[in-house]
This record gives sequence, C-alpha cells and structure tokens, in this order.
Amino acid sequence: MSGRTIFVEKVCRIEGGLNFTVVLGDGYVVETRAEALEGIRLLERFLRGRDYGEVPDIASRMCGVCQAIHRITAVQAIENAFGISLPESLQVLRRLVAIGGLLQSHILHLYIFVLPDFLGYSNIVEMLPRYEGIVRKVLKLKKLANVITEIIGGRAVHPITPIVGGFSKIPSKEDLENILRMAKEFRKELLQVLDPILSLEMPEFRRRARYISVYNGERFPLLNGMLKVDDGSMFEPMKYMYCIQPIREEYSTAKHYLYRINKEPYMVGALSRLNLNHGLLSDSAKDLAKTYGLVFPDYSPFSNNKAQVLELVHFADEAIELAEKLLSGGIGKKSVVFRVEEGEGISATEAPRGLLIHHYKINKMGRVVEANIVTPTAQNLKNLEMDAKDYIEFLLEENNVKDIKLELEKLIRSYDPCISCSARFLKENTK
Amino acid sequence: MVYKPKVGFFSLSSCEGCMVQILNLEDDLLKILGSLDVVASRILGIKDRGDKLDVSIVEGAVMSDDERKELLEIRERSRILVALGDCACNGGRFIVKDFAFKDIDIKLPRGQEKFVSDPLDKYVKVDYYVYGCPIDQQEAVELFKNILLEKEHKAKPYSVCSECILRENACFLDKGIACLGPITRGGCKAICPTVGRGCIGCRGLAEDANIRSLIEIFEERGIEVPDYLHDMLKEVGDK
Repeated sequence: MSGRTIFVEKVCRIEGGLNFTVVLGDGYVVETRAEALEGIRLLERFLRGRDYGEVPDIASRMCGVCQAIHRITAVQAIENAFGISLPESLQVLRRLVAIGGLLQSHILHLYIFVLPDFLGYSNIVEMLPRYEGIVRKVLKLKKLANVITEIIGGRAVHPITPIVGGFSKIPSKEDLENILRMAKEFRKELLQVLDPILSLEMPEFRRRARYISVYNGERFPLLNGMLKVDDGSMFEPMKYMYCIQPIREEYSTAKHYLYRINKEPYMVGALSRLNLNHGLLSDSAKDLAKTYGLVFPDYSPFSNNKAQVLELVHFADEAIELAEKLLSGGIGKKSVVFRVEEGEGISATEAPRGLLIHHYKINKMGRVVEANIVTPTAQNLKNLEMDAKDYIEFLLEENNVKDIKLELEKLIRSYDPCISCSARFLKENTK
Repeated sequence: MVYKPKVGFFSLSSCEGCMVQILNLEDDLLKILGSLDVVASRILGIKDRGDKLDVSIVEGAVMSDDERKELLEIRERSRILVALGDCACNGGRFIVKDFAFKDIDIKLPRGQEKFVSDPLDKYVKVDYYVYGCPIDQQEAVELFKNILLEKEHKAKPYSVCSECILRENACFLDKGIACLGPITRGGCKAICPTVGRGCIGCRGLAEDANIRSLIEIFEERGIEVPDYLHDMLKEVGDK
C-alpha cells in the first residue's frame, strides 16, 4: 500500500469544486489535502469603498445555497456598526427568513446529496424508480421551505428585502397566515421522511474534535450570541480573531482555519451546534433524539447528518412558533430610522454549515473601509483533513474496506461542504 | 421517437445559485429531468463520461487556466452552449460592479498568476444567454422548453422598466431613489422594485441601454450617482 495516493477529483453532490488527496504510507496516512478549486471570489475586495447599502447585495452572492443567512449577517454587522437595534418583531422576521433558508439547505443536503450514498445509488434520478414517493416528498419539503424564504425575502436564492434598518417590504397578515400554513405542512411532511435518515447505519468511526458554535443560552443559536468552544472558552464576537486563526495552504483557493488557542483544527456546523446547545432543542426534537438513541455530545463526524435532522424538527417547530407570534402581535413598522456614522460592526451567526462572521469597518461617508468574512466550510477544511486521515487509518485497520474512495466521499459529504463560500480573499500584495 | 437531448450541467467559479434556482423548480424538476438525458451534473451526482452533448449549460465565470481548458473541452463536444447567470454571461461584473478590476494585485494559490473573472464568450462561442444574478426561474423553464422544441432561446431585449410598469410599481426614480431599471435587461419581472428596492442591475445591460442618459436623470433628480455607473460607461459603454 505504501506510496499510493487516493485522489477524488471534483467531489460530487457538494456545493462547489473540491479535489481531495490522500497520500498513503504503509498502513497509515501520510497526508490529506482538501483542495478547493473555486476561483477566489474576492468579495471582500470588491466591498471596499462601496456604500454600506450595497454591501448586503454583494455579500449575499457569497453563496447560492446558504441563501438568506449571508444577507442577514451582512445587514446585522452594519447595524452593529451604526448602533441600530431593531424592534423584536423585525428580529423575529429576520429569524424566520433565516430558518426558511436553513430548512431548504438541510433538505437539499440530507436527501439529495447524502441519502443516495447510503441507499446505494449515485443520485436521486437513479433512486426514482424505487423511491419515487420519498423523492416527491423531499421536493415538496424543499419547496415549502423555499416559499417561506420567498414570501419574506422576495426570492429564495439571494433574497432581496432584508436591508440595513429592517426590511424593504414586510409580509401582510395574509402572507403570515400562508407562512404559518407552510410551516405546519412542512412539519407534518417532515415527520414522514425522518426515518430513512435516522435509521441509516453510519460508520462506527469516532474522533473527538474541537467544536465551536454561536451560543446565547436562551435560544438554539442562529442569529446572535457569543462564540462558544467545547473546551469551555467563550469569546465576544468582536474578539473572534483571538479564537480562530486563518492559515493559507498553497494547494487550496480556500482559506483554512485553526483554533488559535492551541493551533488545532475545529469543527463548525449542525454537530457543533448540537454538541454545545442540545439542551435548547424543542421538545419534539428532544423526544426524537431519545427515540433514536441520539446522545450529545457525539464525536462522529457522520453524526452531522443526524444533527441536521434534529435541527429540521427544531426549526420547523420554531417557524410555527414565530409565525404565530407575528400573527398575534403584528409586525408594526418595516424599518427603523438610523444615522450613518463611522464605526466597526460585527455579526456572528449560524449558517446551515456553521459559524459565519461578517466584520466591517465603515467610514463617516458610509463607505466600507475594510471587510472580513469568515465562512463555515473554510473553518471546517482542516478538521475534515484530520478526520479523513483518521477515518482512512481506521478503515485500513478494520481491513474489510470495499471502496475507500467512496467512504472518503461519504465523510466529505457528511460535512456538507460549500466550497464557493470558502474560496476567500487572501492577503493583498503590499506595494 | 421523442427527442431526448443529451444535456450536461457544469459549474465554473460561482456561488452555484443559478443551479440552485433550477433545483428550486421543485414542481417541474422531475418533469425536466425526465424529458432530458442528463449525462453530466456534479451537484446531482451524475458523472460526466465525456459524452457528446446536445446542450451544455454552464454557470460561473472563468477564473483559472484549468477552468478555461475545461470550458474549451465542453464547447468542443457540445452542439449548443448556454451561459447561465451573470458570472457566465458577464464574468459577474454586473453584480460586483467592478468593471475594470482595478488594482487587484494579490498572491493567488494553485499557481494562478493573475486575477481574472471572465465571461464564457471571451473564450468560446456562446449560443444562448440566460441573464441574472440569480437567473429567473421562469426563464429557466423557457430555456428547457426551447431546448426540447429545438427553438432558439432569446433573452429579453427590453429593459426592466417595461416589466416594472406592467406590475404597476411606482417609479423609484420619480421618488428620487436610485434604480438601474432603465438600462438593465428585463426578464426578472422587475422583482426588486416589486419588493421595495431599486433595480441593482444584476442582469446586465438591455439592448438599447443608455448609461449616459441614466446618469443625467440621476443628476437631475438629485440622486447620488454611484462611481460604478461612470466605470460602466467607460468600460462597457452605451449599447
């Protein structure tokens, strides 16, 4: 086996272009490399000098899969810089549109990207003859989630309405009633397709990683909180650079990251959120975890899939709760009045794939002086490399591996990587 | 026999939001996939075996030499090549609004020397353009219908204003708010003005776009003229 290389070219059923290389020694793994291929999209560079109002439009183009969250995080960071605080109803509406995006993203990942792996197919089209019922239900769920985002955001991919200070348009009472109906239907349909994922036999592999997520102790994390690490540390969002450290790898167009305290890789995403916040899940999500014997913290990267299922249930419950709240209390005004002023602002949120940070410095003209965006997948790449190394060594030890390459792909897909987001700005040459 | 075109979906550098717009056609997705012979799609997990293609649908901009080579290879084996979205049609310029990529001097990984973000037609012949960031879902359905009927797919020549009027929106320029509707290619059914925002011009220029005149309108009405409109005029010019 020594000197052999396993090379997965353009991993399929993930977002964006990623090659993965494993260099094998004699019964062990010498090196693993997550090689992002997407062109560096330089969005932070393009944001420099732009008016604050343009920022959310450009920043949201970071990703077409994570939908609303990039826009909302950008908006919140600018509001933080200007010292704007929104009335609760508008915050609830922001949370609701982010939930729509998260539900659709998790459905896409679990059922269109992951499920075929475990049922022995390479894609949903092949699954159709035998599993048409599930495929149709999945598409229906995807649509219901998208409609929630569309009603509030104006469009599912790159929503339009969330702006600095509130929304450009808010849903009518009838719209809210529709959202509530969609959320209830989503929840009902969801319960019928959970079993195929929750009963999947996942590999026995475990490796305790470092886990980081947003945490506020009151609600399951989504749009605000501190950065919590599973070693007990907590960081204010503005101090994120004391928590994480970007590094550059010549083989990858993505930035990679380490936990700054001890320079080790860390994981973000559904599993990290659950490991650090499982007590904040809705009752029905907790019951479901009990039924299927899911206990957190869980140290298998493959459990990210099951963590996403529990989040689907939790956020479907929350969508219903939030829509009811808005219906009974009303939304009120669509935006608040604010003053443009010089400042620095940050927002740390949970994108479907994990911790997302937008950080802007804005001058007194309202123009961006500096922008920095930390995306989930970029943070996960080092941990993925570490898991891939240990998982392949685990498989080599087990000695009954049929298809190492496929197993490696399954591991990669469990992370739900989003390479477009991760292909980020590197240091500009100083003149 | 019913014509079942061999179709490949390809993604160059992009956010893949245009492909997601297609996946988001949930009601029609199975019909669309069933009427085509999809032989390549990384995101769906349909492995490309290098088949000859009736139609290749390409999203994303060319940002590396590898992507340029991949595009040339796709063109070589495709009868029809479709550029999907602003990145493929315009190199993403109309969304980031940097028309000259001024002063970008960064050290790039993977042996890449210079920053580029090029539209497909800089390197190959593009048969059909589907504009927008992201593409409009209805236009995507029209594209598939045209592919099946073997009809030419034509982008809308008129501006966003033509569609905005049909939706009975009050004019943003009249209200003194910046809107690129008059110079931007229609087809989106004026979605942004309809939800309370001025057009941001993501679909690129309409056939008869007159940037100079829009700048004058902005000035007349006391709307701050964004720097990028001058860059756009200088680098892209009136149509």
